[in-house]
Parts: sequence; C-alpha cells; structure tokens
Amino acid sequence: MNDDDIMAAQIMAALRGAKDSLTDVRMDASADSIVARAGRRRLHRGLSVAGAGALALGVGLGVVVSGGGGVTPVSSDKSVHVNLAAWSVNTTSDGLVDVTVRELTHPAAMRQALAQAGVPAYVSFDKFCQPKSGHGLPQINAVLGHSFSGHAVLMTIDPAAMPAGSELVIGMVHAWPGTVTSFSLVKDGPLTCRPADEDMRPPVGNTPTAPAPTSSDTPIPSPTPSS
Amino acid sequence: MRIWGVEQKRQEFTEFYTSAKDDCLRIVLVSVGDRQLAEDLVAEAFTRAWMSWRTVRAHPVPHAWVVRTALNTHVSWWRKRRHETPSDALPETGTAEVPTADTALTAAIRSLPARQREVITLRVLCDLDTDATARLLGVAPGTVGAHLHRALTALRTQLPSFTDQEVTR
Repeated sequence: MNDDDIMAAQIMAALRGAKDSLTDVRMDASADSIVARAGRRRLHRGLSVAGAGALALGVGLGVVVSGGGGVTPVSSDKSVHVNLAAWSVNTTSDGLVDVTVRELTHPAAMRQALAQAGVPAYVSFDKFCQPKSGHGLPQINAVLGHSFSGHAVLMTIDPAAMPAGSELVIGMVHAWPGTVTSFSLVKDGPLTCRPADEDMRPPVGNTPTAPAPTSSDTPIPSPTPSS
Repeated sequence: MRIWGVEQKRQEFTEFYTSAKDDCLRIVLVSVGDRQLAEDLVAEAFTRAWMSWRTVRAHPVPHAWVVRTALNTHVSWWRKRRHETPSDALPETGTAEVPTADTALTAAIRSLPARQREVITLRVLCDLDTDATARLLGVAPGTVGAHLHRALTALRTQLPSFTDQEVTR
C-alpha cells in the first residue's frame, strides 16, 4: 500500500466518520406523510388531466359500458371503464380513478363501478350522509380531489391512499344553480343521512358547492349502507 | 383482494422507510451540508420511491436509489433556481444550531463535480462496492474507479488535515 492508498483510506474513513457522527440526526417525517404527499401529487396530476378535457370515453382492458341503459360494469383488476350519459368511471394507468358526473342518476351502478375500480364507496344522489361523529378521516384530502366543469363534477380518487376498511361517502344533490356536493371518508362508524329538500342551496353566494350538512335525521348503519 | 394488495404494498414501503430514512438523511446531509435541505431532498426522494414502489422495491439497493434520487433532485432544483451547473454553485451550508457534518469535509465534497460526488456518496457513504455503484449509475466499473480516484485526489488537496499530516506505515 503506497502513500496515496493510505491517504485515500484515511479520507474514506473520515467520510464514514462524518456520517457516523450524525447519530442524532433523524428524519422526522412519518411514512404516512410521505404517502399523503405522493397522493396529493397524483391527485394534482389527475385533476390537471381532467381539467384539460380528458373526458373522452375510455378504451381500456376492461369491458366498456356506454350509453344510458342498464349498467353491468365488467372489469379486470387493472382497468375499469364505465361511461354512461350520466357519469363516467375510468381507471388511469397510474392507479387513479377519474369520475365525471353529469347527471345524478344510477347511484347504485356508480357504487358498483367504483368498487370494481378498487374504491369502496357509498353514493347517494338524493341525500347527504356523513359520519355520526360529524367528521370523517383526515386522509380524505389525499384520497379525493374534485373540481367542476360547467355542470359536471370531476373527481380524481386515489384508491391506494384509502386506509384499510375505509369507505368514500359521496353525496350530490341538484340545487340552484348547480350541484351541491359532499364528500367524506369513513371507517367503522355509523352514517347519518339528511334527505335533500327543495330549500337546498349553496351556503354562500351562488357557488355550486357546499360542505356536508351538519344536521342528522336518519341514522343508518355503516360502513356500507344501501343506496 | 385489491385493497389487501394496496395495504401490503403500503406496509412494505413503511417498513423500508422506517429502516432506511435516518441513514439516507445522514448520507445526504454529509453531501449537501444543510439539514433542512437534506430533509426536503430525502422526503422528496421517498415520495418518488412510493410513487414508483413497484420498481424501487425490486431494486437491488433501494436505499441507494433513494440517496441518488435525492442528490439528483438537488441538482435539478439548483439548476432551476440558478440556471448554473450544480458543481460550481451549490447552496451554502445550514445553520449552526442543527447537527451537521464536518464543515470542511462537506464543503470539499460539495465542491466536487456532480459525478464524482455521486460516486463518493454511493461508494463510500452507502458502502456499495464498485460493481453495484457502476450498475446504479449506468457506467462501467472502471469509470467508477476513475471518478473515485479523482474525487479522493481532489479532497486530499482541499483538506489540509490530510495533506499536512505525516503518512506513517
């Protein structure tokens, strides 16, 4: 071993020593926060695509159901493409689920399509449901992103961000001048539902969205109440 | 079944993250010299690892993938910010209140060209052998050896503590 080799070994030892001296340095972020960060990024990308008008009928590996008739979604584990006049549920190549709702019909079929896409969901178009506790899981922000395009409601859902055993609760009701929406993520808790009525209005101005109603009139079992 | 698969995938990633995060942070900190920057880079690298978990979990040295991604992200961020080559204009080191690696050493590492810095980090700090480093960087093993030699020579000239001391056998 010559002098150069010895000096190189000393430098390498010093580098390793510098790293070893940092035993007090620890990464504070949790794995959940990393996963949530990835989920937000996926949603952002998904919404960007949806906002750009990517609402075309899907052509995927799964069987596509199109038109306004009866719905029997048939899909593989990898791909779901159900496109009706009323709404569309399409999986994307990066594991997200794009949903576009144009008319509030066939909620049970939408629930079935979402289930096929890996999204356990409760869908209602005539009432709003929420956890009896009043608030759902905080991961909702990582699971769901939504926006509006004209009268259509666009959603991008990340099934991978849903905690095990959780269910996405989707409520939409026609209200002047648009659609009132309510979303929450629930797990192992009863839902309470409030029927929509003619007085349903967006809470501020004429914005087409509203938070979930807070009153509860109709307790129903959860996590999978029938629609 | 699909939900179970997602949960298994998430559990795998959580185990990997828990076991590798501190070591990755320390390695990146030695390389960039700034605690907050190192944390941001490592968090970003793990985020990308989760988004590409199918690929990363099959990688022979996933923690080295994270470290390399963090360092490449650093280069990318800095290029966007300064429109300069990263080896010539890296950020200053962090504050004195937080633990940091030896200042002279990290400064010397940061002065290295990007490829030499990568080789030093992977070969020495990640403890990869020459072949593994070469595979990760997509270069020949001989190229790794050459970069390592140049990097050590450069560090030696920049670190008086090594050039001044008597070499004994």
